[in-house]
Amino acid sequence: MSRRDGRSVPDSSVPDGRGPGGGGGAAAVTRHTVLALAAFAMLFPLLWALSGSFKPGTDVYSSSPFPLPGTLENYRYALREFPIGRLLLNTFVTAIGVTALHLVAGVLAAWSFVRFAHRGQGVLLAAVTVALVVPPQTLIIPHFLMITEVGLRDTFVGLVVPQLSHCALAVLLLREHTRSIPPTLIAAASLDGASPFETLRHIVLPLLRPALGAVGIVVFITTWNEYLWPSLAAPSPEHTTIQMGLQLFETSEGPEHGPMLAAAMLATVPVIVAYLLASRRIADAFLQAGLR
Amino acid sequence: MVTSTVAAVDPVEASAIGSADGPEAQGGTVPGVLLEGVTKKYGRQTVLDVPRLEVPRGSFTVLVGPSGCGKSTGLRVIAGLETPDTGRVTIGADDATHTPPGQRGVSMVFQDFALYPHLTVEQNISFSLRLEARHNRRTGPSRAEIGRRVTEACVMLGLEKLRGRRPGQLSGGERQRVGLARAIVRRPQVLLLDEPLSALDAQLRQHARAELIRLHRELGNTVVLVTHDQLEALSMGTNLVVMNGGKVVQSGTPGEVYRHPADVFVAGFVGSPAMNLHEVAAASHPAGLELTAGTSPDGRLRGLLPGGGALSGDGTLAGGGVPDRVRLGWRPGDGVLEMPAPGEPSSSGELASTGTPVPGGAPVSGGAAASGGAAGGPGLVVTGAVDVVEFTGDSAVVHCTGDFGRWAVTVRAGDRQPALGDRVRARVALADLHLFDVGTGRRLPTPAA
Repeated sequence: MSRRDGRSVPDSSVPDGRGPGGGGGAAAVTRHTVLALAAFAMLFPLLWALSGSFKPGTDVYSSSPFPLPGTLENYRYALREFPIGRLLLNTFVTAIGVTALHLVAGVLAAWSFVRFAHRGQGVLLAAVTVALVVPPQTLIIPHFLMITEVGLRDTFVGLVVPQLSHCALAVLLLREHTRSIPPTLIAAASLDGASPFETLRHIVLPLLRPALGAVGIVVFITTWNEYLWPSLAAPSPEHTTIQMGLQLFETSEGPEHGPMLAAAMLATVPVIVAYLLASRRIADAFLQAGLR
Repeated sequence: MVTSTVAAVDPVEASAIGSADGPEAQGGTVPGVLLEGVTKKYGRQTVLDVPRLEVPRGSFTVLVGPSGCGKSTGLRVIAGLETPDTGRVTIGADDATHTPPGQRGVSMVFQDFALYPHLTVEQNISFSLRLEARHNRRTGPSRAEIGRRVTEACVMLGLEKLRGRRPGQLSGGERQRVGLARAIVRRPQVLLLDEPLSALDAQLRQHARAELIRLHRELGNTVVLVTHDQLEALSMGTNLVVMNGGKVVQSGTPGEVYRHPADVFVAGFVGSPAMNLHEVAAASHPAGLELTAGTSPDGRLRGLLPGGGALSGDGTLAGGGVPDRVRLGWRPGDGVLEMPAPGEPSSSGELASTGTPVPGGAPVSGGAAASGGAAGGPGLVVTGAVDVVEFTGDSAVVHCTGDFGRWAVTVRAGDRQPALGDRVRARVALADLHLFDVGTGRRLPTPAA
């Protein structure tokens, strides 16, 4: 009995050493199979669109999963006939602008919540939380009326500024991260002679950098993918974003799906790059905020 | 009036001048820190209520008390991190009640050291000086001055080799030294230390204690340290402030506080192992104060405190009479353990009778012994059975139980150690006895006092 135990200990430790989950071979295979299937299900539309963007002419409608023989004609056509560069630039500037506004507002609001304990803070916090659950679509009509009233329709400012109204997520996430900074650090800064603003600038902001990166990426991607608001606020091709611009492929002779898919693929690249650069940070930031 | 206006306009400069003058310049007339009528409430709970507390200039003052006694709040009020609800905070010669923390000429070392994690050791230390240079371009320190002072602080605390490191790459002891360097680089009038040793492991703590004392001697400024460790308080401070329930219970030199605790709380809190306290019956006697305790009619403890008659004449007692019960205290270190010889009868009754007379017999001889009080002379004799023997290296603490309640006595390691269950007695010299009022807990005058 004891001899068997003695032998089984090193035996069982081998798979434990290999598999990080430690659940043994069969369990790992099952888990990875499920994950692979889920990943495939989520990626399928994207893969299909990618495949379609390389299919020539009417082959777009064929059910073949592979674009054989493949062609770059759709990409050439999209880049030649449509202002893709301009649309991408518009989108990029819009997303950067909205992200910057969110971060500035978020940091200032978060710092004020944490540093200046004032009366009515609970009410303010509740108001921000409520703003989080208001669907952005309900605000679109009021926003549209407002920018039309002040003559900002179809301008960059009119497109960007109203999108600040859904910065509640940024405020709440950054508040959680600011709260997690040890209070003694802030006390130490004030004893070192730093004003509240200097404390924010020299101590809090550097410590918030990972959180700022994560919140920034999330806002950037959301803004990049925004469709409804740009279609109302900036309908003209000179001012609109790429998502809205894809509509331009709906010509009078019918939709040109091949080039449209090619343009959509091009529109996705910056987002994927941004995500790949920051995916770890995003996960960490949300995990940390959620744990508190 | 004029000076205070100047200080209000440019407190940073004023404090810099104050610290440059050093403690000698102003003499002993100006206190280091003075709290007057300071109270602080959190909600309904009063966490700090200090009618008057003076921290002598140049002293190493230790605020000590159990957790929640208000010592940390007191420190934060001095630092300016908390604004008192009422009262005045004076630092040096200036009323600092409403001065922002950074302009009071104080600096602080935090329990967790609170080093800026994204800055190097050097940047951590120079942070306050760089801010000062930015605030006052003309009067603030120059770049060269900052470099010189940072180097000075680094040398003083042995941090030269760590200047480029970040806090995450430092050990606990190194972090503590960086926290200290950051605090002293500003040349504060008052250095505040909030349990700076509690995050260190025991071995390092011993060393750091000595370092702090040396640093205080070299800098000569006022140091206020907060701790819950009474041993740390006794060993480091030149001035001890014992706090409990938001109030200052006693302040004085460690020796005074240890030898003459102001009440039962201080008696029990300061000193380790804690003072033995027994409630005994007291009665007036022509020759002094007669004390009895225990259950038998004869009394397990009975005796006279000669000169105790002064008690009745003392104004501290309500009605001017002798209280019928008092609390009697003695320190384990003041007791001499005696083990009955094998031949000696050791039944409890016999022992009790040997232990009965407190001042070694007749009141007259007791009166004579009040001035002497040598070991073996008149004094208190307590009996009991050994319950636990706690070995501490140089000595052992013998915990006993008897009719008299629980008590402990210290035995030197070289002496014969009693075994568990042994019947033993401890003799305490008259001069080493403490008396406290049962109701208020206040110290009562004793002939020894």
